[in-house]
Formats: sequence, structure tokens, C-alpha cells
Amino acid sequence: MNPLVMKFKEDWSLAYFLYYTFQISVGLLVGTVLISLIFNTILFFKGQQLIMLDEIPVLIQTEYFSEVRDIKTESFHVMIPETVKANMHLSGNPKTNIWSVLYYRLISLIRHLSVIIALFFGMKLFKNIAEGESFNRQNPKYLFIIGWTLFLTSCLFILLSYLPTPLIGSVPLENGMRIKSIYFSDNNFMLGGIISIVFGYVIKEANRIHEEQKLTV
Amino acid sequence: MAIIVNLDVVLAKRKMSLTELSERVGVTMSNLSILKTGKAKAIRFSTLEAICEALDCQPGDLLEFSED
Repeated sequence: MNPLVMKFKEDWSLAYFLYYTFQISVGLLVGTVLISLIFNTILFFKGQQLIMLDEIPVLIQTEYFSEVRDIKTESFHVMIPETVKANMHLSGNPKTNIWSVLYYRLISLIRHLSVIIALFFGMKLFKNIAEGESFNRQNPKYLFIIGWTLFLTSCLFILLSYLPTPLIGSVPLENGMRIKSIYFSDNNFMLGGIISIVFGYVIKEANRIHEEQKLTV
Repeated sequence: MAIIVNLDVVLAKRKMSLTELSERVGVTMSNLSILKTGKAKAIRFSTLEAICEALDCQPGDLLEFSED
């Protein structure tokens, strides 16, 4: 049966709820990525001069603003950190900036793909659990796929934050501000990945014990 | 190294069927089949005791150790 075809059952246990939630999320995310790809390709070939290239998360260093970073009032004290996160909306002519566009699009695609893979296998995992097959041999495999996908994506994003940033690296900012790096790295990805891998090993061991118990006469 | 289960040999010697043994011992047919075909990973002392009692044999008659 195609796992993307929704079939609601009357059992609204938590596992079924998560299964449906993941199923809807996969559908929406795949749809969003496809629409974005098609839309941008059409604009590119139509020769649009100014299109939205991407939304890029960056770290901005505000090193010369130390005097305005500490804001004191009578009752409280606010401190703005030296490095702030921001999303940059990058627009421009795609034909003159083709390599930069492809670079950011590729990073964005990798990010979306890793989430889609994690949601898709999470969906299959919750389906098995909902149907009472917690000790299915496939479950540890799904957890390992989810875990390694998120972990490796997170490692890639950490690596990317040390690489030069095309286009936005040369943006003239106010004096004292500079774009430090792109910031795709997400600690949740790494944490989620590690937890999934550990759970994969736990479920694998549980499967072995369950199998042994089943074959004990 | 393997433990070989000679349940079929002992059953043949006693001229008893697996169904009859299942009824006497109170172990399901599927579990006895697992034991007979050598797929079992472990056997409980209580099951071994019941089988030995029903077949009037020793555990050594049912189980055999092989080097290969």
C-alpha cells in the first residue's frame, strides 16, 4: 500500500495521531518544495530580472556596538549579544548570480530533504507501532535512517558555516556590522539525530530479546 | 556448536504423536513444532520436566550436543 495515501482508522491512539500528523507533514513539505522548484524554474526561464533568490539564515556580528548593547532601565537590564541571528531575504537577477542561487538552493533543498526523509520514516515507524508491531525488524532501520540523516545534515551545516558566503558576504552593512557566516546549523537536528540513533540500538536489542522470548518453549 | 533436539526420535520410540504430547504436556502444537524443528532458542525447565514426565525419559534423551 502506498504510505502516502491516507486511510483514517477509528483508533485515535497517540501512535495513530502521530502517524497522521507525520503523513500530513510529509505531504505538505513535498508539495511546498515542488511548488517552489516549479515556480522558480518558470520565473528563471521567463527571464524575470528580479526574483526572490532565497531566505538565508545568517549570523551578524555587531562588534562595534558595545555601547548600545547594554540597555539599562530603572527596573531591568537588557543585553543584546555580540552575534545575532537573522534571516536575509535575497532578491536579484538569477541569471547573473546563477552559481550563488544554485548554492543556496542546494543547501535549502538538502535541509528540506533531510526533514522529509525524517518525517517519512517517522511516519512508517509510527504506523508499525500503531498497528501493534513495535518489535518489527524494520523499526531500528527506520530509526537509524532518521538519526543518521539528521546528524549528517547537522554536521554539513556546521561545516557550511565556516565556508565563504557567496553574494551576501559582500553586502555593505552599517559600519561595525558584518555578516559572520550563514547559519543553517540547528542543534535540534543534531540532538534529534543522536537520540534516534540511540533509540535505534535500544529497539534493536529489544527486538533480539523479544525474538528470543518468542522462541522460548 | 549446536544443541540438537531429538524429540521426534523419542516420540517415535514411544509411538506418540505430537498432538497427544501437546495435550498431555499442555504446550501448544506450534511451540512443540518450534522445539521439534530445532528453531527454539531456549527451553524452560518446567517444559522440559513436563515433556520428560510425559515421555518417561531423561533430558539427555531429548537433547544432544554437537560440535559442528
